Formats: sequence, C-alpha cells, structure tokens
Amino acid sequence: MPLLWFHAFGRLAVLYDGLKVSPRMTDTKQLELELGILPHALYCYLGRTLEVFGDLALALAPSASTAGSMSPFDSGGLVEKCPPVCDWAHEKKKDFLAAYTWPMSERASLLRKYPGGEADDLRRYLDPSRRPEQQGPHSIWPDKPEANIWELDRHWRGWTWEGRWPDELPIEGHVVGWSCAPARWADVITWFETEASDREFASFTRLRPLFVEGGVGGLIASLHARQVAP
Amino acid sequence: MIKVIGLEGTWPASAMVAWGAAVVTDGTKAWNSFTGFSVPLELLSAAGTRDIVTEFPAVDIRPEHDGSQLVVIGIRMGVDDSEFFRTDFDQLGILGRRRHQKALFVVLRSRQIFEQYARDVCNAITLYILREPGTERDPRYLTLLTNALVLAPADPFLNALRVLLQPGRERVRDLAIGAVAGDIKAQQQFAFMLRACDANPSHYRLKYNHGIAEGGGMDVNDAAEQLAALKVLHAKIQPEVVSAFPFLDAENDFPAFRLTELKAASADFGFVTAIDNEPLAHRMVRYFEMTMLHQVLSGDVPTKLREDIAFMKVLERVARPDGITYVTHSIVTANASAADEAVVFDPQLESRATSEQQPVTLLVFIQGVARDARYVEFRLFPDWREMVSAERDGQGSRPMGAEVFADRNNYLYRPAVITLQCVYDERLRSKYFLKSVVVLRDGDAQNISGVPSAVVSGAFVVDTPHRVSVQDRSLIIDGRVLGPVGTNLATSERWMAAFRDLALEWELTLALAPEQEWQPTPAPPKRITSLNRIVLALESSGGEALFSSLLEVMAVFRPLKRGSVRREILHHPEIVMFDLEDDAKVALTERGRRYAAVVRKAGGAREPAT
Repeated sequence: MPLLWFHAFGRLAVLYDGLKVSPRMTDTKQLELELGILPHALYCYLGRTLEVFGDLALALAPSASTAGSMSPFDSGGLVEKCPPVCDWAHEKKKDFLAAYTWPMSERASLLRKYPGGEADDLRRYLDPSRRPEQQGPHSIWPDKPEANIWELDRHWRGWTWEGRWPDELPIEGHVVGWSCAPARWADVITWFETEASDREFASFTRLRPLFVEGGVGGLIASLHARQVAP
Repeated sequence: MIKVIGLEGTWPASAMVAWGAAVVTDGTKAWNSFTGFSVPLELLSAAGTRDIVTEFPAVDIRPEHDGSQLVVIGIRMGVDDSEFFRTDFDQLGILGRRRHQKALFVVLRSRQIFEQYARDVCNAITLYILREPGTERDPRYLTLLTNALVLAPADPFLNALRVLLQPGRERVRDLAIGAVAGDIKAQQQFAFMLRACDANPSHYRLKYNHGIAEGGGMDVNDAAEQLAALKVLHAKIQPEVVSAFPFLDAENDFPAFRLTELKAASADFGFVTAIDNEPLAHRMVRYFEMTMLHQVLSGDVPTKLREDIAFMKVLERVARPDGITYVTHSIVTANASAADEAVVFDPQLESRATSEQQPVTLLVFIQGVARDARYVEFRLFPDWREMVSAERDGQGSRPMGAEVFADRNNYLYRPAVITLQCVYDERLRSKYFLKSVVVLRDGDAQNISGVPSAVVSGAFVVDTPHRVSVQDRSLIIDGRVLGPVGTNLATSERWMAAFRDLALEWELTLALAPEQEWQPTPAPPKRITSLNRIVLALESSGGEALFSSLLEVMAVFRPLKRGSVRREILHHPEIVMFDLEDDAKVALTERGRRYAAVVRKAGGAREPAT
C-alpha cells in the first residue's frame, strides 16, 4: 500500500533529531490526557498532513517504526471537534478511541478494509472534495461502537488514518520527502552551514536530496501520484 | 468571486522574497491552492491554529481559477537588491497584486508561470554576479544568491556560485552537491560551472607538430589563416554556449579566444580562460568554448554542428591544415588534464559519401590511439599519419582485427598491415576508413597491395604487391631487411625511413611504365611542394630551361623568390641539374624525368584547392 505518513512541524531540530515528544506541556498533551493516551505520542497522518497549511513537513515511508498504533480518524478531534463523538461523555470518548485503535503491525490489513487497495479507493481517500461513502468506521468494523463521524465532520480529520508512536519516532532512512516554507530556505541552509554541529549537519546532508520545493502544499501535491498508484 | 488572503508558511524578516501555495477562500472555507485541501475559515483564523500562513489583504480572483495551482510571491520593498525579484509582472500574466506592510504580494496563475518567473529572476541574478568584477570579495552578492535560492533551491548555477563565493567552505559545497543530486543534467552544469570559474586558469594548447610551413615553423599567412579559422569556430560555437547557459547574452558575454602563447617555431597556440580582473562570465564562456574546442577536435562533434558544412570545413582547416602537419592538442583544467593527443577530424561521411576509391593494403606502424581507443593513428610514411575510426569501417561494421586495440599494451609502435579505403562526397571531402588490421609479430607474413607515394603526399602507388614479414625480430619486405622491429617510436621510425627510401626507388622505377597506376587524393593537394613545382615547370619546358625562364614559367602559377628556387634546386641535384657555366641552365636528370612523371600521375600537378 503506497500511502505515506505525513507530519507537519515547526522546529528545524526534527530534521536532525527525528520526531520526539515535546518536553513542554502542549495542547496535544492536554488532549492526550483527556483520552488516556499515555505515554505521550507522536502523530503522523496517512496521505497528507492534518494541517492544511504548514511551515515544515516530512513524509515517511510505510517502513517507519511499527511500534505505534493507528486509528481511522484524528484522535484529538474526538475531544472537541468531531461530531457526534465530541459531544459524548469523557469515558465514552475513551472507549470509542480504544475500540478503533489497532497496532501498527496490522496496517496492511487495515488499509485493505479502509480506504481499500484499489487505485480508485486511494484516489477517493486523497481527494479533498470527497469523503468516505460510509457514515463512519462502524460501517467497516460493525462490531465497533457506532458514530457517523465520517458523515458529520466537515474536516478531513474525521476520516484520516492517524498513526501514534510513543515518545519518539526515528526518521533516518524512512524519509521519502520533506519541505519547508520557501521563505525559510535561506535561513535553513545558512543555519546548517554555520551553526549546526557536525552530527546535525551530517543528518541534514542526508536529507537534502529529498527536499521538495513548494512548502508543505508542494510536498503533498508532489507525492499525490505516488500514493494513488495501486 | 474567490479571494486570495495569504500564502502558505511563514516569511522571516531576513528573506527578501517568499512564495508558496495561495490561501484561497470563498468566505466559508480556506483551501491550499496546491493540494485543494481545505479548513473551515473560522478554524484558520482561530487562536492556537496549527495552520501556518502569511496573511495579507484579500486579492479578488475570478472563480474560474478556483481549481488552479495558484502561487503567491511576496517581495520585500525598499530592501537592498530586492528589486532583482521584481519583474514585469503584467507581462507574466498575473491574477492580482497587493501591497501590504512594505511588501508586494503577487498572485500567479500556475506553478508553470512561477517557474518561468523563478528562472528569469535566477538567470538575471546569475548573470549579474557573473558580470560583476570582484564578486568573490563582497558579501552582498552572497546574500543576494542565498535569497535567489528561495526561488530555486536546486538551481545548479546559483549553487555553484555560492560555492565559488565561499571558497574552502566544505559545508556549503556539500549542501550544494546535495541540491543537484537528483538531476544528472544539473549535476553536470554545477560541476561545469565550478570548473569554469575556478580561479586557476585552464589552458588549451593546439600544436601543429613539425610546423605548417615547409621546414617547420609557421608563416604569418598560415598563422593568420589558422587564427581566422579559430575565430570562425568561436562564432559557430556561440549558439551552443547560449543553449547550455541561457542566462548569457550573446551580444555582451562572449569574449574572443584569449591567445596567450604563440610559438611560431613550433607552431604552437596556447589559450587560457582566467584573466585578471575579468568578470566570471568571461572566464566561464572561455572555458566552455575551450572545452568544446577540445571536444570537437577530439572527433566528438555535436550533430547540429556536424551538419553545418561551413563549420566542418573550418574545423578541418584547424585539424588538418594540410596532409602532412600532425596536429595535437591538450587541455589542462583545475582538476583534470588531458595529455597531448592527436586531434581527430572525423566528418562521418558514410551517409553522404558518393564515391570510394579502391581499398589499399599497406605496411604501417601503429602510432597511437585516441579517445579510449575509439580512434587509432597509423604512421603510413615518415611524414604521414592518419587517424581512423577503430569502430567503424564505413559500411556499418567494425574493422576486421580492430579488437587488438582493446589491449592497451600490445600494439603500440608495432608494424601492421592494414587495409584503408578512401571515401569522398561530391565536394571531394574525403576520409579513410580502416577495413582491416593485422599487427605483425615474429613469424608473421602478409601481402600488401601498394605503398604511399614518396613524391606526392597523400597518393598511393597501387597494384604493386609486396610480401612483408617479421623474422627474428626484423622487418623484411620482398626479402630486404628494413630494420629491427621494436616497441618504441625511434626503432619504428628508423625502419619507416628505410621503407620510404625503398618505396621511392620502386616508385621512380615504375614511373614511366604505362600500365602502372597511382591513386591520387580525391581533392587536389592543399599545397604543392617547391620541388614539385620546379619539376613540373621544367617538364613543361621540355625538361630544361634557363633559370630566368624557369622563374617566368613558375610565376604563372605563383610568384616565387629567386633565392628559394635556387636553393631548392641545389638541394636536389639528383632531380635537377644546375649548370652555372652554361648560362645557368637548369635541366631534369633522368631521375628527375621519372620524378616529374610521378608528380603528374599521382595527381600532384593539380592546382591546390583554395
């Protein structure tokens, strides 16, 4: 299955240290506490970034660590944004998330069910003008709690695949492409040329050939064709 | 109507220019123009949003551009050098613009238009930096370059210039190499520019071995002709340069070849790329032209130039000024050098050739190879070298026996029996094809069918079978020992000199035989030696003449200095008798009559082609 994991970020350190959970309290951590996601996790989304606009982003191959878990929606959205779940009681939300959480090792079989393995399935999944035909994930996994989140949410967060990895996610060897806001490029290369340690510079040197022009939007657009190939 | 209200990503204050996907809205949602993915407008503007955009007052766009990959460019106003990023946007076909907080935002219709804009701006900046003297020492240029990379991070020329402006900065070089890693053409352009602009000058040397003029050296006329030919090549190569470096201006960026050395005694031209206080552009163009000259004189002529008859004619003039002069060239650049090697003029006449001469099987020695043994050079006679393809026999095959050249150490300077065939087109442009080659080793014996004419350069005495063999390390022809066979040049030149003397005797012996034939060159010779002209003039006068009359006869063809004619006659008493006591009568000897007959039969009496 050619779908890639995407992650948007703002700190250059990701490019040489990989993805690590921030030591500070963040909005994401608050949501995780509400949903009982512990240890704190790193998030990637299958096919595109969760954010529509961003500063930096990278795309990871499916070979990225299988130590995480995955769900067919943005877990954070369950707290306040994804109807009808966002209006549910706290424990019910946690149960809903738990019911739709699978280990990353089952990725291939999960994706065959949703969005499906055919090119049309993949195109639909990545088409910004279309949502799933089903009302919610219970249509595919009938033994799970019912909620029409795919029908009711206006945002892609309602039907994206989310990957969660505890604490950190090494990126070395798994990056397919990355990009940054074009206007940051001069600062980025100047920093790596003048300020970075040898280790940081070496990591960046390995990533440099994978740079995709055009910012986050450019990265996602350029990898679209590759992802819809069956 | 839809509106563009921003561009994706942040815009640091240090950057002169920004660009990216447009943030487009219809009033309810905002979408990314590159991906089409949208977010409810209220979420985009909400506090704590993780969607990052640089906003500006809305620019109205017609709804038909809804699905287009709109691009927004932002340019800081009033910042040093930021004017480089402004262009004639109206001509570019923009959809709208907005000034906001000392910046100009421009909305373009597509990524393609943006790429055109980026290319134009980057070319202009590249050319500007290349043209300015002293760019290596002014950090302002580096700032401008780094900002230009915002538009085109993988541009090979910008990246190369950044490396050049920061010599010794390994990290800069490493990142620049990474920038062009995915594109072979860009890698070549990047590497080329680094070499071309290297502060250490590159040198190209074109050497006319043994000189062009008789007796060596170079007449002023010859030098002028060769330089004029090089000037024509310079003009012909210009379009190739512009094609490779589209930012160059054909009007202003093409300095002439810079000749830094001219050794008339050895007919040696030396050219150089880097000249103090000249802009990098000139250094780069000179380098390109120099390497291209080396390339085309190595037989590797681009198809477009190969089809240019005028170009090929001038190239031949440079590569083969006559049938005798042996032209070599060498190039030395900052990180590579090519040893002195024979120039290759390979007009590839196969497809155009309309006629061919009879193949001739000859005794030669192998002088060397060029271009990774794709070409092999034979010494046919002491003053005749011929370079031919070792891959093409003119009829779509590889010459028989040419596989011997795959072994680099097993043939050099060895005697060989080869079969050559001359083909020529309607313009009498000719070339030789190798049909077969047999390297002679001890115990081998082969037949040859002709020998080069010792009287008329380029002609053959044909249908004169001889038996060549190597026995006990000696080269033997028709039972006569020519000398020892060696694997060095001096030994081979010794037997070749003996062979030439023997061939001359055969030729003069056969001169008056009515059935004997010579195979002349298709085109008239490029020059007639002074001796041959004297002999022909005397023959036309019945074999003898007064010296003063001889001069008159010869003046019909071309004026000659009295002293040089006299000297030539005195140098060849076996051909021409000079009786000072008999009113300075000049007459052909018996040998001279035979010599004159050969000159005619071998095509040496034809007027030189102009």
